[in-house]
Amino acid sequence: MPEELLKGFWRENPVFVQALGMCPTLAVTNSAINALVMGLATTVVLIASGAVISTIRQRIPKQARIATFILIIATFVTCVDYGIQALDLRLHAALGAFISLIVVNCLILGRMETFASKRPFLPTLFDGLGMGGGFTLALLCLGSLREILGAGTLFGIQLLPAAFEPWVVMLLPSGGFFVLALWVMVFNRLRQPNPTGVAETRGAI
Amino acid sequence: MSRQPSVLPTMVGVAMACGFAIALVFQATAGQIERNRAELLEQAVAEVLPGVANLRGYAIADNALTDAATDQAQFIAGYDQTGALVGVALPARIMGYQDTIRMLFGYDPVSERLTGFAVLDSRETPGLGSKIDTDPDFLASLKGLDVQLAGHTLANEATLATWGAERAPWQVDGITGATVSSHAVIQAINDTAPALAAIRAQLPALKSTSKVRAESTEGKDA
Amino acid sequence: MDASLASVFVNACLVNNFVLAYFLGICPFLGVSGRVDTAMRMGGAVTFVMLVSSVCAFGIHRLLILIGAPYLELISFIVVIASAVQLVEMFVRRTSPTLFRALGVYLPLITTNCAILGLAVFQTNRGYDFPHALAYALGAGAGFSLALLLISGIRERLALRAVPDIAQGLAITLVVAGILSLAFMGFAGMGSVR
Repeated sequence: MPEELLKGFWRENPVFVQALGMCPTLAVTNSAINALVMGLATTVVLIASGAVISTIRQRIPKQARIATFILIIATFVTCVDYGIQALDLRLHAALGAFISLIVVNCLILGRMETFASKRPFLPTLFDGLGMGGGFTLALLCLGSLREILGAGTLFGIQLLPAAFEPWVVMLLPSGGFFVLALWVMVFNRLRQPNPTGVAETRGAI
Repeated sequence: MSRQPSVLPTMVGVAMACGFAIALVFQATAGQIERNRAELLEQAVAEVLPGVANLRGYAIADNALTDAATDQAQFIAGYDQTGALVGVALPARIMGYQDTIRMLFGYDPVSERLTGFAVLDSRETPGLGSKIDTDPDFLASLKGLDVQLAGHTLANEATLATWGAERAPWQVDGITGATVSSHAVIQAINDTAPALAAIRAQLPALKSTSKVRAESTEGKDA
Repeated sequence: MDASLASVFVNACLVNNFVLAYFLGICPFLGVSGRVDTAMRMGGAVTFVMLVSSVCAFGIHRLLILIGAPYLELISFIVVIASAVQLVEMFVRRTSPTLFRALGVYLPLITTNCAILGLAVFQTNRGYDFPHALAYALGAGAGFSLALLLISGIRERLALRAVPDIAQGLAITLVVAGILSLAFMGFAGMGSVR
């Protein structure tokens, strides 16, 4: 059980390792609070969909499985959407359409396909928790760095002195790309047992 | 090997269950979402119409004033404690740099000036275009902006103030680095001229309505 | 609608490019962009699906408002998109088996392409009427294809260079995308209110 939980954080981190769910990762991480809420929303959808699909997995016909997964995921995303609106309209406006876009997050569909539809309830639950947690962690890394460098604050609290001229580019789309590239490189470096430096040329990816 | 469940009944069953679940959650949260919306709207109107105590939503159809719910109204009239008309909050939207900017103008039909400006929703560039919400000079020049009408257009179209020259009452202080966003706001002001004209035409009706409300609230409180 | 059709198109294609400004369609952007010809075909397929989805989203939105069930919007959009992709897949398989093989698994993956659903959601939120919705879909598809073309061209050349180990693959592509995104910011203000 702990294995299912932990692999989503490190070994199979959805963002840094599997490169899944890139769209929301880049789009809503211009502040730490947005990143946190998005991560939590995705985790909720992941766990809920996984629970349902894992429970009814014997009854889903093979040809219609993707369609069924999408229907169930879309249902939970809609529920989470209304939930966030009821909680805080301003937060909902900040995240915009990207809450609805959770439904096409390749991470969720991918997990349903490779895990939830094949394994029983409890392991699926842990897998959802782990993957969602790893995803949230990745989003937080991005969101925090972008917010600190781009606005000098973290979760709205002023961290850097007022004299610091914020790097607005960090809040822009380009900044998102750069910061994610940075984190991916850091992650790669940490995972490498023996760094070899520059690689020889390879064929087209 | 278990027999494969048939496609159609399963899909229909799942679709119905999903639809039912969504409808349920929708009903459960609709009330709270309504309350949140109303609260946000009230806050925004209070920002653009200082000293307002009561709100009434209106729409104008065929030159006649009709009541409307505040979130669907064409404009919202604000009255103070005594029932006098403070001004009118007029929502507007225009394409900015990044996406549509939704804003609220406070308009005083008597003095023909803007009483305030608030941004309801914007996706402008953070730190640059987003300053239309925060830049003190920009906001100060919008408060009290002369929007005198000449027929259905503004007598003097709102423009950016030129650097160094005396700022006319219909000119707005621009924001460095947010040219597109500030121009968008100004264009939105010019575009509201027909709406302002229609509101001015209904001024007697708006003022008399306020008197009626003041009488009714007095009657209730007594 | 106050904006002209041309400005909606230019806005969706260049100023607010779906990939480089809104981060929609990143998965195929990073996955299919290894070669220019595959990228172009992907761009064409996505543009077509976008047009179909735009038309359907327009209709669905009107219909749901009519029957008073706006909460079914997301689920209807995604069902329509999945069906449109299925149709495109069948069409491509019948007319050009080589293209079908070339696109491989990426064709069904268009369903999870956030750009398509994003298009439907944005178009609905902005309240575009039919001509504007079509212009928006065309612009978005053109912008997506343009971004894909640019990055695949760059990646083809990048494959022949010595890239540091930790930056290989995902990281270097992201850096290139970031630079492209910065470059596209130069289109700011085109076609907007002035």
